[in-house]
Amino acid sequence: MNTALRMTTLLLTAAIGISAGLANGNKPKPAAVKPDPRPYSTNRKLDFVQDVVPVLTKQGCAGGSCHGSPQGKGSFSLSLFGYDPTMDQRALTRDSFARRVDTFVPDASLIIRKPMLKTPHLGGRKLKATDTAYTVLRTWIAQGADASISNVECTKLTITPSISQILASPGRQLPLRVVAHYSDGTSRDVTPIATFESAHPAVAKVSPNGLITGTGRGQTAVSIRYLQHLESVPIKVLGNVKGFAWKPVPERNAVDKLVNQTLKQLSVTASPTCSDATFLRRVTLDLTGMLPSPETARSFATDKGADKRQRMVETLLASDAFARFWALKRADLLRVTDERMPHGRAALLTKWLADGWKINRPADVEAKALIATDGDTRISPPANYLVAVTTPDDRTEMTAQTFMGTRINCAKCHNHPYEKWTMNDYYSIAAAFARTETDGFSVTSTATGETKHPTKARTMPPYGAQKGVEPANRRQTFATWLASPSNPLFARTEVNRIWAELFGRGIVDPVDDFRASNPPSNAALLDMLSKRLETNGYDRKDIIRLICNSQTYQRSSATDAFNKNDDALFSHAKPRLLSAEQLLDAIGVVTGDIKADRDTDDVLRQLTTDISTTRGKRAAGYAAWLETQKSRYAAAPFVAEPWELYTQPASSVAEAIPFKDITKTLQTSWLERDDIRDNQDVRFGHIKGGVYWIRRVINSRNAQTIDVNIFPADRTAVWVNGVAVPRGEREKRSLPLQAGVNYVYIRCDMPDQFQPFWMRFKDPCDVDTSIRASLRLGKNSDDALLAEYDTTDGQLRGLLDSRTALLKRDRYATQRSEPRPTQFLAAFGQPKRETACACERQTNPTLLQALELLNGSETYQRLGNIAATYSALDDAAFVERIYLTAMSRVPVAKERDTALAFLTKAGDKNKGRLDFVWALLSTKEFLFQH
Amino acid sequence: MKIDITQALKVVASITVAICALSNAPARAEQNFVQDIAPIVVKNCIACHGERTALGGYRMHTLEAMMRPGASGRSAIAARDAEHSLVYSRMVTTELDKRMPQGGEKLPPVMVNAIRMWINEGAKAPGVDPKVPLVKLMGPRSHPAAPVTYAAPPPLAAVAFSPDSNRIATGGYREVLVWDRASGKLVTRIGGLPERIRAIQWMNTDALLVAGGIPGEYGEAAVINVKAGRRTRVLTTFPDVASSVAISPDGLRVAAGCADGSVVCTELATVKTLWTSKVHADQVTGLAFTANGQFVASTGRDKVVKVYDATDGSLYTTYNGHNRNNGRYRGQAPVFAIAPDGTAGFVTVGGGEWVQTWNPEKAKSETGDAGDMETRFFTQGHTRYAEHGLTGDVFAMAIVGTTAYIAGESGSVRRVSLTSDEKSQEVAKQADWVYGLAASPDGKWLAAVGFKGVLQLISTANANAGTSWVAAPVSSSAPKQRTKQK
Repeated sequence: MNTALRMTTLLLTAAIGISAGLANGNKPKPAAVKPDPRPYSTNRKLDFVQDVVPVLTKQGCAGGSCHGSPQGKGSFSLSLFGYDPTMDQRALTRDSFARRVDTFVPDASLIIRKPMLKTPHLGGRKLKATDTAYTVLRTWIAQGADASISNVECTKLTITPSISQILASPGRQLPLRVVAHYSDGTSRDVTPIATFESAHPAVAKVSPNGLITGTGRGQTAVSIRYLQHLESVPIKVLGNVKGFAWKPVPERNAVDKLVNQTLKQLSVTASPTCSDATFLRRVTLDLTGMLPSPETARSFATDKGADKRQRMVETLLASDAFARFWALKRADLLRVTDERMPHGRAALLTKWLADGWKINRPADVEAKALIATDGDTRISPPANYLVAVTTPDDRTEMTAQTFMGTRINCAKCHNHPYEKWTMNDYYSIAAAFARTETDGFSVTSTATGETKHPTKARTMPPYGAQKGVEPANRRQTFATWLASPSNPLFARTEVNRIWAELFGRGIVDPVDDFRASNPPSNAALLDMLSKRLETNGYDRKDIIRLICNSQTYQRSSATDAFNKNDDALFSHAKPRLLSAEQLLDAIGVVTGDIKADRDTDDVLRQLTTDISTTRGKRAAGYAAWLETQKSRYAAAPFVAEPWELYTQPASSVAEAIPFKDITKTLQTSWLERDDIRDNQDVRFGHIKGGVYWIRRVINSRNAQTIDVNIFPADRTAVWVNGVAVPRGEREKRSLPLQAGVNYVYIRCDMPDQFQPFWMRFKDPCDVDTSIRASLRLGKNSDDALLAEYDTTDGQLRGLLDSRTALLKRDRYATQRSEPRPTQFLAAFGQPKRETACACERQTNPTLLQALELLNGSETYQRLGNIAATYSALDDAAFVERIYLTAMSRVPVAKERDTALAFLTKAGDKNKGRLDFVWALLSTKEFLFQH
Repeated sequence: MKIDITQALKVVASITVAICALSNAPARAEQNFVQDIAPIVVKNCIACHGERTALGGYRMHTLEAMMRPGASGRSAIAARDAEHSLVYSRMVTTELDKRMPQGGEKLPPVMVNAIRMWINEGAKAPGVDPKVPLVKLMGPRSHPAAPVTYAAPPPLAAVAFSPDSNRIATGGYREVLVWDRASGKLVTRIGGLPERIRAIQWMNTDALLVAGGIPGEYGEAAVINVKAGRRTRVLTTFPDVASSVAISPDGLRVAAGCADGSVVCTELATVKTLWTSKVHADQVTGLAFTANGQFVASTGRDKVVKVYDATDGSLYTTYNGHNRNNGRYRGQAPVFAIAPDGTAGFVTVGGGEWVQTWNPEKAKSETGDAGDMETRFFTQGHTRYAEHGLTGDVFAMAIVGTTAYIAGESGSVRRVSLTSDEKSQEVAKQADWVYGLAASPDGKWLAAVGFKGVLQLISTANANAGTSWVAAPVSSSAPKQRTKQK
């Protein structure tokens, strides 16, 4: 047995011994493990792909910032991490008139002289004579620099050890051994030419030869790359911490057990349970986005029940505010904006998501609906997901990031450099979306459509389908696979996102970057939670409940010497700046601009009473009003009904339905489109070019001729009732009407979505469109008529608007379903919803935030409500109430005295109160959730 | 070919003499900067302290740069005080991680002493232009002899016919090989040349122009006397391989291009540098004079062709026909080969689909200004684009009358008419990349060389009349059979 091997065995024994808990205090010995260069000297003819290409990655040549970048460096271009050996073959042996290798004097080769800095090299020294890589390159060149590419591929890597490893203390070492298995049945130790990287070198570093050395207590993962194979070994480094003793904390459930296990192992203490007030504020903000009302704060403080925290979690989970706030989080990722989902569809989707939380719709059902739903987006809101994300590439990347926590976009052009995702996977997922057609407002599954691999020009099979079987519906098959235990990433991503919402950091962080080289900070915890989600029927509320009831969630943010540096093991609560929406609403509640969620019921009740009182007073005038409307309707020479759009547009002129047939189509093929209006450009939504039909009904009293103006854009062709409108025409056209019902059909051939037409129809009827149908049918009272009558009174209209706004929570940033960006929200990091990345929500403090708080119009405007809101309270009651609202606690004596002294001294009572609140809004206790 | 044993012995003897000369060098009174110091610096220092890579903010590629302190601000060279000169003190420090050359072997005492003495003597360099790169100051290098036999044929790029069309010169390793066209026999080996030979041009019966060098390190354009079998004159040197060489129609001036992007024009009789230009952003790949001698143009990997006034080297215009984003003939591709078109223009080819024939004066007037960009982008201009039908990059071109023969990555040699719309045609096919192509002055033969080191002789008249052979003195075990072309 040679020395190296014996050392390996010793260290392995040590490592295994430690993992069994036999840590000892021996001083670590420096390792004598040296790679065996023999396989790379002249004994064996080296293979270009198996031996040389990996070395280019190992030495950093093929890295993304060097010759592996798309443009290469110094007119020398390699494929990124060797994904394309043909390109590397060309670059090394043929490019620039074969200048880079010299088979006569191998050491004179440019690819050896440059990285050894024997010739100027902008990349610096990348190769030493003692590196195995040098032996490999030199031997390969001396053997003739044969760069032929065999069809033998590396099929698998075996890493020893392959499972999670524990080093007893910094300084301890562990050698890795990497064996590559090839498609011809051979295998070889490739340790010296594999590439090693540690995720956290401050915990453990890894030598070019795969020798891991612990550098500090903590957790990391060492990734091992060889050609396109990537494996990872999680590493924990322990160590005796002077004076550390585990102080027991209550363990309420499995979460605590698993978190504490890791804490004990790494000698980190757990912080004790936080106070009731802190818990109440924390959990209410986390679950509803809002501050607890002062009444809740007071009653919670005095509640003596041992289970009061559990009850509070239940109450909050059952609230509408919870459903609305958590819908917002998902809407951020699905890019729900009015631009992408116009005409109120953004709000429809958000509301659908909120309804889901309300009824506790399982995560898999939600995901499947978003991905697989067909149909009109106003009838099936989840279909908006695909309508807003139009290209197969975008759909692939969004879906992978949102539901699999994976950033797959690198694999679009080359196999993912840090993960196992390949271009095959990427284009197979894209193929799952290939048979999907969307126009501006509906999603349709089609029978044809394929995705090709861009470099292999191969038609890709759809992901998730059985091999060789074409599924009946690709998207449904993919969605079924995606949201099921066959895709473990789905449950892991879901629970990790929930965890991150509640702790400010995912178990895997960033939450949408799951990869072997980014290990979870507590693998057992993530396993337990995801397994639970898979077995509880994807019940996410159950997971939230479990977490919120754990002592881990309820820990104080106070730290001691043994856990103050921990930011990944959840030993203590991490104070977090309120999110943009939370903060704006918190300011709103404290200043009285909006009501705490619990109080909105009272306001609603009051509004309802006021509305019915006002209606009662106005009832007498209804008959006269109706008569006026009827006479106006009768006076109109003709009445035009709203425009309708034919729901089956053709993508080409050849497939377009002709005029003679369009008149025979069923009423169900037409959909009313209130966004198509007279006197403006006509658009059909976010859609591609094609042939579109719109129509409207005109009820004419007599046979007559009316005017219509149609002005097609340059490349659009328009027909009115089968008659072509000449391009560039601005003149009025005559449209003959017969007495009674007339149909006007307009056909529009549009080469792309930006080429609409403009039209003007002079509508002579002076009655609101909403009641025309009622009037035509001769009704004397129905909802439409009554609603229109209501709007004729200013005061009533105001009351109704207030109620609608409150029901929709229009003024609540954490609650409303319509996205409404403001300057304040932008400053505090509200995402623009442009990507599926959770990172779009900025959490860094900025100067802009300070300015918004001190000077911003949105803050100032809300402060203006203070005088009126608290006018009934004396100074002492005012101070207590502000503390209860803003901090969920009563002020301590010193705070109260200071505040009262300040208010007494202030000349102007209201100005004093405003200044006091403003000052309080700038305190950390208010700005942070702690 | 039979090896002449006395010839081989002579080579061995000359090497031995050179070695002895080095070790027994008589002590000179004073160090000579160019002879004693510059070679040490160039060999051991400028890889890290060069023009582009300047570790520690310190450069040594010129005398002026050597004298300037690096980022530390401390004297690099303090005249008469070697101990306080970083250049010396860092070479002799006992702190291993700081000793220069960093991470490398310690320099031999004879070199360290030379540096110390030169500094202590006042760091003088009488008559040296401090702005001229040391590499240039050192002048032409002498090169080791070529190997007697080759283990395997190396990739070949340079090939040229003699004026009588009966001999063919090809590049070898540190040598030029001359072959008899009819028999395929090796006639002469001319050694003592740089390791890579990138271009050969036959000037007259006995003289060759040769461009070559050592990649990343050195390049030269030289005159070779075939009869004497040696290099007679080095026209210019470069810091990288000289990639191309061309002689003016009047035979008085020679232009040479380099992989570092520069072009140098030299007066043949006096070896005086007439002008130097460095306007390419990447390697210069080819060079040509116009038939009237008015312009020199160089092709580049940077996708453009630069046209210089032949008298003073000023940039006349940049031809962008190979780098177009709009219009019918769009594409961005490196340009590899250039030839005069017989009138006042050029023929160029590289990546892309076309052989392009164009005129520098018309190209300049079409370059226009920012105001007419929109229209200019879409106008085709005066260039004649002949579709060549090859896939991949085209590296080589030879012109016979109004016909261009081209070859490259695909291995196919094709005939493209420069004047008629006749479709391009394959005249021969090689199994691997073709890097070099030459036409015999009588127009009857083409010689193609490439990656596999084979010379393929192609008859322009009869597609079946060609032969091919391994154009290298490979050892007897390697196949070097003369084969009848299929």
